[in-house]
Amino acid sequence: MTLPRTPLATAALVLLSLSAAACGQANDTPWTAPELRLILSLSPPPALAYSAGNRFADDDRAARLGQKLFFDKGLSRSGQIACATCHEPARFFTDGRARAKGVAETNRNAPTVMGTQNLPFVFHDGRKDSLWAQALGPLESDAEHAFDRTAAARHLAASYRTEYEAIFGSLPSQAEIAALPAQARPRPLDSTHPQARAWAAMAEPQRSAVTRAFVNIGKAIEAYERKLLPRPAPFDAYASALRRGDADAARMLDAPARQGLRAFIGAGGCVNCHNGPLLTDMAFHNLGLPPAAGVIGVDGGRSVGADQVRRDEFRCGTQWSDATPTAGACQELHYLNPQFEDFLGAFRTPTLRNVARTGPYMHAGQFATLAEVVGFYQTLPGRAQVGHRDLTLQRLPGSVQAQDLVAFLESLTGPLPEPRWLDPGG
Amino acid sequence: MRVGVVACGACAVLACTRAAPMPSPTATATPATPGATAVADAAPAASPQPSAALPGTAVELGGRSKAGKYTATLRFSVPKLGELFSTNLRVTLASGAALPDGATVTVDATMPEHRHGMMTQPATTVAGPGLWRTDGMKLHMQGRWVFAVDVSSTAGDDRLELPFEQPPEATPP
Repeated sequence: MTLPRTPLATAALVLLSLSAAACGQANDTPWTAPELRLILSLSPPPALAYSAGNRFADDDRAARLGQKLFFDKGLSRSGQIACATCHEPARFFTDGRARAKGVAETNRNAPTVMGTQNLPFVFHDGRKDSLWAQALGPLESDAEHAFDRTAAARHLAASYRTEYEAIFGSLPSQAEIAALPAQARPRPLDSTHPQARAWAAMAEPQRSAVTRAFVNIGKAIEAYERKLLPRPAPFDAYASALRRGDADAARMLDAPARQGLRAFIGAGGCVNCHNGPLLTDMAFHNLGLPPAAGVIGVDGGRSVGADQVRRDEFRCGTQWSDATPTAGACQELHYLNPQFEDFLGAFRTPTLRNVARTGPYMHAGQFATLAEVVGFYQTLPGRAQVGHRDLTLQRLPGSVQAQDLVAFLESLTGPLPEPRWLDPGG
Repeated sequence: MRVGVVACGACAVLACTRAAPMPSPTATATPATPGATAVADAAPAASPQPSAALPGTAVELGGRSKAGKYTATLRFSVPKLGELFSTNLRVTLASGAALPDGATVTVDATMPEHRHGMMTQPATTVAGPGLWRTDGMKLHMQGRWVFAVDVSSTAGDDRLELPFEQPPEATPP
């Protein structure tokens, strides 16, 4: 079609092109009120929730100690593994690997720390109900830090006694530390292990004092991790502009990302599970994922984790938690349904904040790129390895362009936390 | 043709400004819709209705049970998405008379379009004559849920299904 080249037509074309520039894309369909409400429900990133089980959670001295501990390879048997080994700040606190590797390779992907602060249950299977309890798991995992409780107390006393005692109170004396077994820890599933025998041989006050120090390592690390909340991303600038009625809101987000957002909250149905300001329902779903290369056996996921968290040594309401169950602090645990049939093979919906920087994806790193993830949702191939695929899941309709969805997901990348929290600190 | 081009440019401007205003969700509670609800096949998710009440709004759902044996009223504050909440329930015989002694009640919630329920295990306790309190409810997905109130007494077993639209807000808007 050829337009007549008259002054009026030229003016009209200029108007059209200016309008297009102002909107980013001239043919954008306006958001409906429900769509706009959904968009605004995803932004901005949330404020910190109260940490009922850790009275040091917002103590800056604890955060600074936790920061040092997070980067301290001395908290591992080999002296080579720190929390930061699998949660590298520059990678948005992930490791870039399909499956995390400490002393050995694990069966799970290392999720980002950013955005875990408000979750009722952590780990892919939700087997811990606080960040401080979570931080202690890898320390005693044979595949990760392969550390033990008496060695942790000894290291704490040797390297951090003054800082620790200013926050948490007395550590065992030097003489008491010297009297501890070299390596001891509880091993409920292997009571004949030398470490378990050494632990059982300790007097109860000794075990209690060592566990208190160990628990406070976790509480300091949680205090640090609470400094690592996701920060606003380009999507949030767009949502903020929509919220204040800015006619130029579209300048904040390019056209493919806006189209991806439309699919995300609409035809794609992604927002069903990736909801709220962390873009996660904090719940557990079985996607019917393909098996992960190199992993033997099937992973029961939440069905196992739900049982574990109810028996966990450090769960909400135990002597190690600062929460008081009678004050209603342990409700998530209390009302957890461990028999929920859809938990079999289910894993926690991950936050999508900074997702473009936290691959590989899924609980065992099954997909290397976001394009692969979207490709999976386009076809939903195969069947669940265990349990059944979540009935909510439907294939992405053909009208949804994969590259648009990826563009939207990339718009969820915000800045890293403040630089002072990205290294071991002073 | 010229007119068409000009009109198109104007449309673009209009589209741009129409996208901007904030929605104004009504503060009225979701109206009670008694009676049975159809269980659809796995239909695509419907977006929340603009009328979905904001979290914190007082809601009262009620009606008569399917077989007409009971009348019930369920009261609660619209929960934030994914947050634990409690409900208060009053049940009488359809005539308005008090329930026979020993009546039992359970309250559950499902998303028929998604074919799933809650991931929590709520607990219902007696709160007074004909009154029950349920704690530990959690709706983890926005959209249409259906509360199921099951009543059992010497007058018989019967169920009420009460649709409810969970809004998408997980934090105060």
